[in-house]
Amino acid sequence: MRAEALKGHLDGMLLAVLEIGPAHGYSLIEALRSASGGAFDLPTGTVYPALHRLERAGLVRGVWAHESGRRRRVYELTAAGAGVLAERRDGWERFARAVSAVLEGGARWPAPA
Amino acid sequence: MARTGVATSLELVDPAARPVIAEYLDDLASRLRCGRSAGSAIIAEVGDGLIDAVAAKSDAGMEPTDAAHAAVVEFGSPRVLAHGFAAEIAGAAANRVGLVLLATGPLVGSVWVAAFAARSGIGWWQQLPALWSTMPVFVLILAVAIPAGLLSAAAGTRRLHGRVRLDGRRAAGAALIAASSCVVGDAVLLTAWAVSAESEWTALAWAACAISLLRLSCAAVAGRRCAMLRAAAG
Repeated sequence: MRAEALKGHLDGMLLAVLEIGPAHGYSLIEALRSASGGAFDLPTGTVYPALHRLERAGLVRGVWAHESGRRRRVYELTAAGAGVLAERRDGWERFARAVSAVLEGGARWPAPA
Repeated sequence: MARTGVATSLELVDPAARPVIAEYLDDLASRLRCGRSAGSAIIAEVGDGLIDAVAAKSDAGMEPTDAAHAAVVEFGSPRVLAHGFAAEIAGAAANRVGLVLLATGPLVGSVWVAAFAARSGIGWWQQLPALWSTMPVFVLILAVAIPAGLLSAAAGTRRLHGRVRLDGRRAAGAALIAASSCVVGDAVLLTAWAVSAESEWTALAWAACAISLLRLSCAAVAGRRCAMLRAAAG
């Protein structure tokens, strides 16, 4: 799936992955690929500006951690981020139900006059 | 360490793979339009991700050089990545500019009202409407500067996230308008004071002029930077 198709959804998906636990940039993109069965194959670099944007909005918290001699930026979900994630999930479910109702119902409708 | 001088953990990568990663990071660093500290943090973070990517591809059986080339392809071009950061950098800068302008506005305004009130010998509460009637252009300047400042200060904040589609480029545009309005506003105040025959150069007047000149200079610099960041994020 192309990056353009995911525009507007990346923030919510990153929040969803971080709900599982703190993670750094590369592990987040790997988790996205894995959770989508490889369908979401974004350029890995795109995740970093998105994480910075979420951090500035107070939805994730980033800290520098030292792991095995490496300095790594690790992100975790904040309470505000959890709230926004719940809103995104609710909005997406309503949107998906509405689109499904239209797409699946089309076959049963009479042909337009 | 890439040629940019930013400390990364590239020594953890096979020596054969390092030049490819270093070249990518140098290219990215040259395209970032932000302060040294913010740029170093971005390069360190992206470099760390590239090390992971090279390790993952090496574990899958690739030769180090091939793994490094595959990793940089996976990350996307430095130009696209820098563009992604440009919007974020522009938004953060707009946020700071908006906050500073909104915070200094009442201070500058209060000192000027006090200076004009001392000159005319009336109370400051009477001076404010008197100033607006003699300088109606100032009402227009405030009508532009305050909403633009509020918009840029709120850009990317939690309250507006996902609700208002104010990306970094637009936020930088709002900050540019706010900064430009402040430059014009300060210039109007300074000119009005300087050309008036009634003006007395008291300590309060000097303070008002100094504060306005300082903010005018800072707003001009901030506005120029916002214009550059807006162009980079476009």
